Amino acid sequence: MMFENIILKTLRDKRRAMIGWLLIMTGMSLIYALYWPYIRDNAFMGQMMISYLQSFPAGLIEAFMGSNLTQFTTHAEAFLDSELFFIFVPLAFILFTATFGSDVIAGEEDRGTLDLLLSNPISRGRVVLEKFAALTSYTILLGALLQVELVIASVATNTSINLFHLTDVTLSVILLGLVFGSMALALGCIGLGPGMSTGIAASLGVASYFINSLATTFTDLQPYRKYSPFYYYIGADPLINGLKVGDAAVLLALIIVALLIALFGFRRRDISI
Amino acid sequence: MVTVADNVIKTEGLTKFYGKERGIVDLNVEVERGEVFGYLGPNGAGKTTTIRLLLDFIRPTRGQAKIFGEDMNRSSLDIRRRIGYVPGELALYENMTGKDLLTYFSHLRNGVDWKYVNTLAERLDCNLSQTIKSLSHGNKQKIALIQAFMSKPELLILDEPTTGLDPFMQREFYHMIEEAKAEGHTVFLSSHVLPEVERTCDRVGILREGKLVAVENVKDLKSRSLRHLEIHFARPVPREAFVGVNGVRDVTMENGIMHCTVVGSLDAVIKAASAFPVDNIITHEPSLEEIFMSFYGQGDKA
Repeated sequence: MMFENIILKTLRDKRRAMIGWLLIMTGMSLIYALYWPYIRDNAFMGQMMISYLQSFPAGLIEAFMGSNLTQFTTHAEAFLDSELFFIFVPLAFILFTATFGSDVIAGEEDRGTLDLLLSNPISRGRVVLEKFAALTSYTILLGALLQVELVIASVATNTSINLFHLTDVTLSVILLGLVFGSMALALGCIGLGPGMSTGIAASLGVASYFINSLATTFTDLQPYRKYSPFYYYIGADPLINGLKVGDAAVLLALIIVALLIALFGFRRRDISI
Repeated sequence: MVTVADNVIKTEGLTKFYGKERGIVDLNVEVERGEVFGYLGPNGAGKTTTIRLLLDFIRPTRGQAKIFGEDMNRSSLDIRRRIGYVPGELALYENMTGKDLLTYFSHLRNGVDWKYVNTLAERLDCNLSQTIKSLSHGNKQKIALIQAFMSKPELLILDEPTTGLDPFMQREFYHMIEEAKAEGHTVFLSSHVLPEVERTCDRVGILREGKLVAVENVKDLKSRSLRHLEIHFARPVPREAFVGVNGVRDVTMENGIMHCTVVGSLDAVIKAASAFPVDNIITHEPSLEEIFMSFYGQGDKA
């Protein structure tokens, strides 16, 4: 039964978006995962790729692929880290969560259905919490399915991957996504429209990516790196080194702060028609 | 705590400004248990603002309102449990069917009597299995009505509920109002058409530019109601035959067609007309603005 509560109703509303993002993400990941053995087993190809990448300025490569190039052809984790988890997967997560987070309150308000929903005997706080729970469920599901896919691909290509570390990076990317998803939710809850909420949260996500990744090259940016959620997501390289609990805690704290702003902001303000 | 209240709705100095723009100003309304209260005013007078304040969607600039004797903001959840609501600017979940939407809301209300829901759907001739986005405006309005009535709430707050309904469905809706009243429930209904309010309500509050200018019994209102009458006679008739007839004003006569304004009952003018061969009688409802002018001069009198 899909209409028993706001969580299920929201999951139903978002099932198409969920499937869409899942296809984009798993499709892209599958290409890389299947491409990996080709580099691993073909020394010439691997060397070609490394020298190709080294022909670019080092800063540029670090900005878009991280700093694991040396192990690129020998360690599957380093390959996946550079090709998938450094830019593509986190940005896909952020776009998914930012549109989701802004749509559930600001979007529903914009479409005019919020009045009718709130005429039912449910508190505004419960509406926000259930919508947040739906956002969290799909973000976790997206992460879990991505991991399952990568595990299947690694078995199929006879590649050894550290499962614990893969789980660590999946957990990190889920948290990162939820940071910007709950931010978009909070922006909608304090009264911004759906476009503004998505735009601001997604732009901050992209900016946060650049601050973190460019900081390795441009030392002027170094002091600002610790303000970038990306730094807490990938700074310690969870796919290679395992999860740094402190970093995950920072992301979790950001989510909680955004959720509190969402709850408090939504409780106090006028709903627009 | 049980609060005994004769007033189901009671507002005290209720005021809402949107920035500097006026919503409503110093509104004092009392609606008694079991009555059908019409909230009449032209578009933009502040009817929807009042209703959205009562449901706690927006918060007053100052003043307060009590519903069932409880503060509308502090006890909003308990209050909403006992209210059915039809919004003025209707928006439904377009990708759901009517049945989906009613199922969703019934869960949020901890269940409803589905036999009653189906009866309502039948009475309003509403197909619940169709996707909402494929429905006409009138059919969407029916779903809004069903969701408001389905929990048999003690208080119905209806913002222009007959929008988009054809006359036959409007009549069915009036029956539903009568039944709710018969069960002792209270109805607060906004409208911008006088005849609808006259037809359904016990009392009427008249709102103009954010202020309540009068609260009247519908009976009194009817005795002073204003109508434009047009009578087509089969042959020319002297204008003098109607000048001075009880309640008749502004008589003009041209080629056997008489125009006049009638205040209150039509009885005297119809009897006067019956002395001549009549082809046709047409009445025009005056605009709300005209009614305000005729009742309250410039409308400053409260």
